[in-house]
Amino acid sequence: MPCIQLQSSDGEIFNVEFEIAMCSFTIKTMMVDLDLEDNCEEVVPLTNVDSNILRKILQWANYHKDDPEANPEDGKPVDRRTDNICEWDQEFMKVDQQTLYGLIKAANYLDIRGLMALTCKTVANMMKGKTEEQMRKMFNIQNDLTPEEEQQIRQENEWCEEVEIVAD
Amino acid sequence: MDISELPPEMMEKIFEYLTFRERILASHTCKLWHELIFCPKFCKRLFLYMRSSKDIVEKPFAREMLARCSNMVILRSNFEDHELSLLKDYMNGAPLELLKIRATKCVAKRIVETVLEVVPGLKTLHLTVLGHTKKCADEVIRITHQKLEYAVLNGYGNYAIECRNLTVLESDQMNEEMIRSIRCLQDQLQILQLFGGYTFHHRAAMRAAYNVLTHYHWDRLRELKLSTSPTSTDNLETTHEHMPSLQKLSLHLHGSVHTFTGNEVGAATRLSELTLEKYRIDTDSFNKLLTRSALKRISLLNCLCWSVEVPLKSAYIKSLTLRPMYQNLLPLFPSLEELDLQSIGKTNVLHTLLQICEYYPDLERLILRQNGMMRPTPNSTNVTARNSFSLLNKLDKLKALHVHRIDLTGIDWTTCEGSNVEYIHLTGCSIEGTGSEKLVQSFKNLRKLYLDHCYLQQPRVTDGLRSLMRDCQISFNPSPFRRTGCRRDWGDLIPFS
Repeated sequence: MPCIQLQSSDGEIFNVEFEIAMCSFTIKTMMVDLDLEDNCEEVVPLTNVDSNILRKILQWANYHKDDPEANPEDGKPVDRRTDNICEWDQEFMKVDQQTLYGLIKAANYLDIRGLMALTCKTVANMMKGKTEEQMRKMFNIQNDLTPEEEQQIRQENEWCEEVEIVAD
Repeated sequence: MDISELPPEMMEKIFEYLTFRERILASHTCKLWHELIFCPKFCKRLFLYMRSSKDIVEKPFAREMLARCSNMVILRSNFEDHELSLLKDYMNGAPLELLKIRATKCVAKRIVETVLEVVPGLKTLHLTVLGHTKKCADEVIRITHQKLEYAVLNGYGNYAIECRNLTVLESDQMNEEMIRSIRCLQDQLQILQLFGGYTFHHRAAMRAAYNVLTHYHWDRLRELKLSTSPTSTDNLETTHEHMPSLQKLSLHLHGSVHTFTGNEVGAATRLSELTLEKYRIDTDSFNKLLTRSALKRISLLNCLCWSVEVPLKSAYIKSLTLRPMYQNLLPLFPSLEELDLQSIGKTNVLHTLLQICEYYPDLERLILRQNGMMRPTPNSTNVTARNSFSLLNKLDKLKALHVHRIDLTGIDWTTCEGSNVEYIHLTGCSIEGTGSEKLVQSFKNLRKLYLDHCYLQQPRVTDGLRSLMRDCQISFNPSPFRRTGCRRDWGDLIPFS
């Protein structure tokens, strides 16, 4: 199995199977652009991803390496559901918020769509079903709105009470 | 790291998974989130509802709201002069792209003729004129706009249209004024839907409309959807010469039964999609049409049955919609990829599936629907259908299966183990608790399973469903019945936690 070497921001080097590394469009493009496909000696530095996050990502990518790329038969191009996370992924997402945000940033940087969707869904699920106050507590947010501003936002939003969302 | 350190574009991606209500709630938490949530992209999707002209006068932030919303709906408001000029003032320069108005004729006329000139970016206009009042009955609503692309003009109105970029027009007003307007849009219309002519009084208008359509050239028209009368379609024969770009034709018969022979559409060599409603189909001549046309998709809605001995035949049809299915006889379309059977009623499911397997070896997507509300009978066992779904194994290419409002109790899903189906969507079906489990276990290639508003008998082990298939996305919306409390003996699927 051909491998590629990825270096995390804190200097650790990971030997990664080609197939697994390819789940990242960023790496894939880099490989093609730099014509590295036959050259396994080269070390690819990932300056935005530390070793803890990279380890997690490789674990996820290894599990999902056989996933199909897209499901066109679905008929709905954009999946907005958050209740369809598979068991393994749910288990995988049991991490502290620090790691979760790290994964989002890294997934975005490495352009791993499946992981991006999973992490965003997970954060969205943490917001769902909560009041403003519960959300502030959950995400450690300071309420910086004055009572007047809060009042105006509420009134504005009331006007859009029955808003239709245009289908994507 | 804190959530506030995530870049805005990633927060936007997260908020996209929230419903509208949830987003509004989240926007109350802090300034940053409010700003992020009300990004231009989200505002584009907002609909501002104006239910009373007082909204404009009394709400101090009305100008600000109008300045950022792209969609606006004005309902039944009666505008005083000063309110209307205020509305015009606020709308001036607003990024408005879509405007819907439901109002009486006089009000609609005043709003349209006042505000259209200050919203140069408007692309879509929906106008529904309510009530049939004598007051200003003969007045014409002038729609003059340079950018407008899409207009829906319904209700009791006379419209005069002067829009040089209009390409799509839908209307249920087949009257002289409309026909005159359409005639002027001859060089630009790409999609035209024209309904009406239902009363005797309007028949003359319908004939006039057909005259305009058949006597002028419509070089850009791609889609034409028309209500027809038994006699009006005779003229359509020449359309293929006058409408060289026409791809989709939809004819909805109103009035007494009429036979569709195929001559109505002439040679129609470019036509790829044909929808017929309420016609009687003459199978022999329709088959002739099929051989000489390039049709790929056919929809036959409430069409009367053709002669049983001669089935429809074509080697080229890819997609077929039948509503309802008559006499258990399906057309012979060996290249069919998509089949949508609507209101299958008392049709024998086994017999139908047998025919599908025999006739449509290339089928990729199968949709079976029962229209209207299904009333599941507790403990019923659908004996004839028990093993019928095993027939799906024969369709190698079948990837998607949609079933709407059909009683699936008693189906033996374990017989479907050889099927390649990857996507199953059940809506309003009844199925046993063990059935859904078997379903997931039996379809080995299943990637997505959606159970929406299904009734689950003997609910159990549903929360374990997901663990049965590692790669399958399983999702469901609960049955609406529990909320109304009228079917307490039918359990919902238990939410996956």
